[in-house]
Amino acid sequence: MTGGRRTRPAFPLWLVMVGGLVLGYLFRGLLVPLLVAMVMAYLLNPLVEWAEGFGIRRTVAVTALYLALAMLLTGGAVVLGPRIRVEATGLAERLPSLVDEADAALVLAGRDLAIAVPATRRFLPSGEARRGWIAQLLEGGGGRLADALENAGHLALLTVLVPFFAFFLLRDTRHLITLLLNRVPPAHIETSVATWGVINRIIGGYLRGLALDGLVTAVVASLGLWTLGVPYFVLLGAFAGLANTVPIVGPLMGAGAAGLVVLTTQGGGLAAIGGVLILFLVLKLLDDTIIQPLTIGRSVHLHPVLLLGSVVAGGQAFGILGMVIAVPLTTALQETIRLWLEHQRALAAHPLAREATSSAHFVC
Amino acid sequence: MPRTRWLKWAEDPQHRRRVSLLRAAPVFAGLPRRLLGRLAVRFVEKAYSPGDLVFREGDPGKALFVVLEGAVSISRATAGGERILRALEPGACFGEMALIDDFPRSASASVTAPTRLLILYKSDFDALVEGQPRIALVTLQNLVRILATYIRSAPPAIALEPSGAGDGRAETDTGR
Repeated sequence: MTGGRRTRPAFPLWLVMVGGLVLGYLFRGLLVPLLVAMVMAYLLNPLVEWAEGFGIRRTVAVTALYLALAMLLTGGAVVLGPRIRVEATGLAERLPSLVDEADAALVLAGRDLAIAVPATRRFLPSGEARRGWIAQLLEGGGGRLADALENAGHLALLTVLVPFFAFFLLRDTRHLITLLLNRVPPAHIETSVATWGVINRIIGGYLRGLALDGLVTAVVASLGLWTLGVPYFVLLGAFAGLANTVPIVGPLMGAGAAGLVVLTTQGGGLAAIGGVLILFLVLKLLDDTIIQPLTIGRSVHLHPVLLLGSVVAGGQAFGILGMVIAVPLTTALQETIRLWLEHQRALAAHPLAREATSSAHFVC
Repeated sequence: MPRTRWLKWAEDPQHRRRVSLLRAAPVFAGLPRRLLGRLAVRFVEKAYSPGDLVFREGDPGKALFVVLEGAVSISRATAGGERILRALEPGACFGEMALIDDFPRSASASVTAPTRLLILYKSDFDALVEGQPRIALVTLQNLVRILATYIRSAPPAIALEPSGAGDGRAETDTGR
């Protein structure tokens, strides 16, 4: 046995990291599909691990899971597809007349508000300003829609690349982790395994919780909007669920979209959007007090300032996707630092620890 | 038989080997195959070269190790030099007390031949037993049994010493 701790030279690991960064820069166009694929892999991994627990090869488990998902998506498209297509077509046909309808609805809502609270009269925008604002908003949206259509080729590529990357991430992550761990010096292996375990658990727990939270929110919002007689309730509910995955601004986006549709389709007036606003307020309360504790639970615990800062930074870097993944990444970083500090403290307390163990009784 | 051939093709031989090793490990004895399968998925694997130190006496214990291939030597520094407590072969388990707490290791573990170890981090074990309390129950029973064996095999004067004299902890020959 050696007296000291043998460590391998660390430069190959650094070489791999630098090489990875260079490759990442060269293929930066693939970064977003890769990130989405990682999210998908995290969502599906528990099912693969469950199958693996029965001794099934990961390749077989992932392939079977993909087949099951394809069947599920086909079934979902058959059941919900026609409804969503009708709603989306209806909404698209209404787009040109939306400025007039939204303006009329806002006039009604403004009149109601002025009657209820006369002091607000002087804050309400004039007719020209109001129309300009709505046109700008819708043109902006339309512009983004046009961009999206222009980039339809990229979207198609994304739908191919994401499952493709996710397949290999699901299948080969274990091998990659083993390869990486083999490069880690033995002195750091326990802390490295600990850090990997914590990061994996936080990111996986958060993303899976978020997906479940979005699904529950979508179902509850759709049911609520259907009860209120709001048109496009499936589309709006799905949007509310999807938007809910974005921290802080997500719920506002969901409520805003539903409010706009109610304003433009039900003749406007405060009473028309009152029900929708109450619905989303109740939904937000339910989400904060029941749904999120049951789905996301304790996987993240960030200081509010850190939470806001990470969401803003993530949004700046990768848009909506960045806002979604910023929270678990920041929590993982926070936990990594905590583990490292804990390790340093344990090493600093080493002489004391050695004394404690040497006073124990049973030595074999 | 075609069905058997299909099952063999779908089955992961490495996983089967891991489960067999875990089944033989005293700390997991008595766990049904289904739970051993779940447990085996939580382990990560690492290759070591001869002379590598897996952990050093006094290091904070955070993980349990199982020898997949190769050989590991457990030793302790004494006034007379390094004293080898035990040589471990494939299937042997060491550092198991780390599943209870992160108290410092009571012995060092080093590799004496090209070796592959399976590593289970404590919080991964904790996460698993949250949904599978039977794993915790059986493992803790086994750990208590292992400790009881050491207590019984210890000299009576030491075994009866009041716990206040030390920290009341028992050391095992597998580096905790």
